Amino acid sequence: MRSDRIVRPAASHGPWAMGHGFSPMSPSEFDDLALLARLALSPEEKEALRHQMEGILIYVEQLKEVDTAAAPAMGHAAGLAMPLREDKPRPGLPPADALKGAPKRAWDFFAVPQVLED
Amino acid sequence: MGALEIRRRIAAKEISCRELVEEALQKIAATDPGPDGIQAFRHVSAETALARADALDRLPKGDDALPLHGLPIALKDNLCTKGIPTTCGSRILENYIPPYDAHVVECLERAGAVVIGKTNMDEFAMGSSTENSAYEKTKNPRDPARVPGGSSGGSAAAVAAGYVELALGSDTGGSIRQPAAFCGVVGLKPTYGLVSRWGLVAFASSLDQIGPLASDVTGAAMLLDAIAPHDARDATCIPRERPLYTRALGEKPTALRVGLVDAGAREASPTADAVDRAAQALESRGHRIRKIALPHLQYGIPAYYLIAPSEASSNLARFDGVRYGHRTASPADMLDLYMRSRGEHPGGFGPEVKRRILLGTFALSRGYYDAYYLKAQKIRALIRADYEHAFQEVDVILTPTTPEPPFRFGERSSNPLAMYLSDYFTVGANLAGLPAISVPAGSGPLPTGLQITAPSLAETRLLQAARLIEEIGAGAA
Repeated sequence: MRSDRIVRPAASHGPWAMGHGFSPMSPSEFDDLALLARLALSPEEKEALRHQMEGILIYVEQLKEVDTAAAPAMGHAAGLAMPLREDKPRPGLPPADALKGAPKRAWDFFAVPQVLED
Repeated sequence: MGALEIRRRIAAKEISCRELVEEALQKIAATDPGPDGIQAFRHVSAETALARADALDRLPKGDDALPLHGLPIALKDNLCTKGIPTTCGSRILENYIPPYDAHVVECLERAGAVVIGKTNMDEFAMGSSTENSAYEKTKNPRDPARVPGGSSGGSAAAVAAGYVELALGSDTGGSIRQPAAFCGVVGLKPTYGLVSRWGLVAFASSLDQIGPLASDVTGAAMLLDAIAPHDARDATCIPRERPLYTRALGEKPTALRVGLVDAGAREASPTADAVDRAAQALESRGHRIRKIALPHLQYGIPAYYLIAPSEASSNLARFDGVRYGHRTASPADMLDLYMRSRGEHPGGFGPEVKRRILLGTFALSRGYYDAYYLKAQKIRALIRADYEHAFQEVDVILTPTTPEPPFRFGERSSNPLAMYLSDYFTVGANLAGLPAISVPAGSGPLPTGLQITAPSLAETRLLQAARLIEEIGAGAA
């Protein structure tokens, strides 16, 4: 994969730079986001999705009203430490079953386009 | 008739499992398929269901080891079923046949239930009307011009249409309770960690929970009993002593302390009248009504629509055109394979799924993480603290399930935000990890639901309170 194509939205000076109010996302910033999300989108889709996302992001701005200085971040509702299971081998899915849904395979493997240069 | 009465008839040999399954299949064939049908089902497994019914007919009837003996059941199409297609309402999984059963499907097998088919849903459980399915347009059996709710709209419609008494759904922000309310059936989201998520196609892992839809509260309890055994394959499944919910329904709660939310939340709701009527009925029967405050619940929707898409953007990264699902033709390289397999039309993700993946990718990206995802997680903690505080004063909390009765097709689908607001009363239980149930309310022209929320792992109390509301017909004019 060509890593130079993996672009992140600019954080320090973009439209959502922290501490500033909301301003619209530019088409090129939206392109970067779609690439990061690994979604090929048509020009019409991009335009519609960009505007809808703007609407949603303006809506969630209301969270800024809430003082969360003393609140812990809650990642989970289970409230239990992740238990470790015994470090013992156990049966898994047989390779033939695991490969049944593969859209393309080669021998006992999932097939992908060539990754390394010749 | 209810699942318990059917179970009695099976035990008394008044009806065979085969007759029961044939009857269900006939009803489905008569009114479900085609554009004018209800279209609750994505897939009906007639042959395997009949074979299973015959096998169950050879076993002794009335055995306590088979609490769901012969009962036909419908499964939401995001629960993996070995050898039966599982599409999640998405084109990307159109040809996917799982090589294993979900934990809950194994449980149903052990309990003697008969899986009759897979039900339609919003793509990857993202939606509140089932209009986001890439396939059928499921109608509300109570009014076919209206949506059945979502995302478990097919399961709710299958129960409401009388095809089955029991169905399974999944609930990430209200996806069991909201369609239950819209279709006039019972829907329960268990405590986070009560039911194993092994074999549930993940949407937002910290919020997702599998639960029952049923024609009555007793049916919901019977199904919950069957699917709640502990399972170590889901690390978040809580090891615990398991009460028998169906048996606990025999006990009636006395002097229950019922909390009504005293905030803007109730004023915003046209379904609040049903809550008032239920509260009056409860009070006249000796239960105590108290006003409580959930001051951060109003931030539930914006917090949810950052947390759930963030988790979804991570979970749905697995659909990459490599291991299962749709793969684009002749990709130029790996990046092209990923982007076109996921994005192209037809074959890739639909619009709502794309919207949420993009939103989640944005909220998790460097520089925005603190302002969006982390902020939402902190608000989640405040919402949970609100509930904990309220449950020091009351045993259960009573609210409407939805702000409005079922809406018409197309009424909300052009505006994603308007659709999201359908979850106003339901997201709180998911964010806080609490059990909540929707019970049909009232006798108006359109179905509405009353939602009861209880403390963590208090499903017994939740079901008893739900049975109480059901019994006194509270909410009826």
